[in-house]
Amino acid sequence: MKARKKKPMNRRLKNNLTAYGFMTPWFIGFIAFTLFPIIFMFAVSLTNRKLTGISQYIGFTNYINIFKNPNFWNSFRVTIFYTIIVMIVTSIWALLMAMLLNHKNRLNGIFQFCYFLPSVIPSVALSYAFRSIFGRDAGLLNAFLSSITGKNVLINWLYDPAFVYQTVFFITLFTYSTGQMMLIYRSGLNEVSKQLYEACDIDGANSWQKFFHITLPQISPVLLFNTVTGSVSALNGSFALLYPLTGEEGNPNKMTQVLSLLIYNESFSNQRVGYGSALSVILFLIACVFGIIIFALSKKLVYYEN
Amino acid sequence: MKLRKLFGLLLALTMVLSLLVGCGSDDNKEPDDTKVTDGTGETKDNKETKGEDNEGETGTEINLTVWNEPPKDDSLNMYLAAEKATGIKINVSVIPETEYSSKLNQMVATGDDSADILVVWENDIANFAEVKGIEPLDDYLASSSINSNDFIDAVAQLTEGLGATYGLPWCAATEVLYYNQDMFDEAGLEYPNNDWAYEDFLVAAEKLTKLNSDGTTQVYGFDLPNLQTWWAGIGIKGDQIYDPATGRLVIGDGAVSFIQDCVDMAKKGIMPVPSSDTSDNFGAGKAAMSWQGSWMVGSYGDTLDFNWDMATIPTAARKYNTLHTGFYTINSKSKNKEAAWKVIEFLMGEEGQRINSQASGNPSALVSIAEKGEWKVEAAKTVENWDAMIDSLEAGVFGYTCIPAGVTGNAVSLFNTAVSGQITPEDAVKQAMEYAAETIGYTLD
Repeated sequence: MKARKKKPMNRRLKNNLTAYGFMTPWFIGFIAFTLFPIIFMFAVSLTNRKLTGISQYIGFTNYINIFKNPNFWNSFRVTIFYTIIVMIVTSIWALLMAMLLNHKNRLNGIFQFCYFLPSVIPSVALSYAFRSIFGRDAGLLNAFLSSITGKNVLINWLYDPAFVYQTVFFITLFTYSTGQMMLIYRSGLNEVSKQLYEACDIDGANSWQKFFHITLPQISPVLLFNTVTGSVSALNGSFALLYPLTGEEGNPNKMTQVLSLLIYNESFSNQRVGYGSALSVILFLIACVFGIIIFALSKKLVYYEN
Repeated sequence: MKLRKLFGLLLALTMVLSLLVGCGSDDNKEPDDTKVTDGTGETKDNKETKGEDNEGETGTEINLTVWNEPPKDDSLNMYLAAEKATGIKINVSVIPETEYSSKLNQMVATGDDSADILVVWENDIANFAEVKGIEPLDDYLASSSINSNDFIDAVAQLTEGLGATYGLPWCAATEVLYYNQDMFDEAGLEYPNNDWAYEDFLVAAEKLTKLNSDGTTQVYGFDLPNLQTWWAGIGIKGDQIYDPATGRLVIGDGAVSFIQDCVDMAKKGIMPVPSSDTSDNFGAGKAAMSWQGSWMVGSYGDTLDFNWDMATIPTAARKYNTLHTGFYTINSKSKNKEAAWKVIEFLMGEEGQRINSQASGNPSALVSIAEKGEWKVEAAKTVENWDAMIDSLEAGVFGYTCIPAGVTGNAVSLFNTAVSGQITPEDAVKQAMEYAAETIGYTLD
């Protein structure tokens, strides 16, 4: 009898061990490439470590200096502003594109290919291409505008405070993150039951009513997912887009110097690795706060069928 | 089922082991994103050179790290010549310029011994010496044919504060004024010379500017200073820029005055306003004059559609330009120090310097070799004023290049912001000084 009782225990143990065995590679990868760097980053943020490796424990001095520094507060404002606007602009654009693609049309495949193509180009290459388009004297866009207006158009797209944000936000529409969002929205839209739309038609609802009362609630989980990934991407992925476009100083006049650019600037150009790590910890916390706020809001706004 | 589980576990184990092997350190590892070029200029994958590492331990093979590719023409390849002269094989690791300094800093920080010779920039040499990442060369120099007294004064001044000689300059690049002779002829102006006054330069820039009927500029008299030559403009106005004794950024009235001149020129369309354009206005024939590094002589050569020549940067309160170089240093972790020194000795010798001058168009930092004029680029057929290079060399100092790149980059960004009219020149200078003080770590007086 005892032996019979032991058997299921052994099997359970075996199954558990097998499961842990499968999980081990991921877990080791997580510890080595995610958890350890985060802990190490926090440890380095408490030192005055230079790029050459000179390091001394200085407690929270880096954090105190950061909060006293006007450049940090400028970057903080720019980061929040950039993240929120990019999140909104890219979400709306991706949803719009996905809805257009959802209409039955013979050329949908070509349209989707054309729109998604820039998204698979590396951000750095994309930024350099847009930089040559948005140049002042030698930019392709100004040359085009000059040729159609017959006037010498010299708009300083990426250096004039009046234009820089619009230009940067326009460019974000062509990043990988936006293309990916569009595909996810599209699959979400396909999941919305046709019967709901038919019921609306019977009740005489117009397109706007169908969108706000059927489509949006039905795809709200997808919207939440895209908003979270979009905001994290805007926070962390902004470097690859902005560095080639407006430089690590975030020209003009630090208007585009998001925290990731400031971290690079401090860690590598100024060789203050400890200070840069403290900035990284702050960026990590900002990303966490963004995630928490979005999830908190989602409890009220997201519709789950079950 | 059991077989499937066993297979799965084996797969998982393989992945874990691969991960551990991947993470394992390899003392002789080359920097990941480098290309390794042997002395013949033939580029190899890093892995291909690994099998040859044993030879390095016998002192017959060394690795050298630099930011620019060796010339493809064998007769201009100083590393190939060094191999022939010393019998030591040289593997050249090329790290892109944009990340060169940070990669070298990481190599020194981690005690990486994969490179025996590091070509180190001005703003890094003191830091590397401080952490003993590079070897003092005085003992080697004592029994060497290299005459340390023959270096231009600026080199001696830079190494004075280090307590020992840690590096030898591979060349001495300067900054000069390039001008379009055809445009000067058309405007009926005399060509600039090496004693040109700054006021005359301003007048000429205005006369050389061609405006369209709508008031926009067709040809600029002077191109916007770049990251390097902003400091030349501030230097000629009398500001010290870099204080070697304290490591501080020292700018003030001179900087305000030069920025104001640029603001005025931009307003009148004489100079372009800062933008994201990356094109070279001078090379494209859209600017009559430009201040740039001497290395552009080789780039322009006979490729421009117009006649051009050069002169020294105009003189205001004083003659000034920034010298640019890289220092041959020996990695303190190198296992081949003697072999590394032999190679450096050749590269700093007459033949090595001659080949380098011919290949790069930059004069040697050794006065007796520079005077021979091997740096005169043959392809630059319209250039007559070669004296501009020697004059610039004599007036040159190691200035802004000794300050962290983030500090000078921030300052130039502020100067450009002032030219765009978003802040005043006074505010730009004040903010640049405050940023430098906070970053470098000192209190402003």
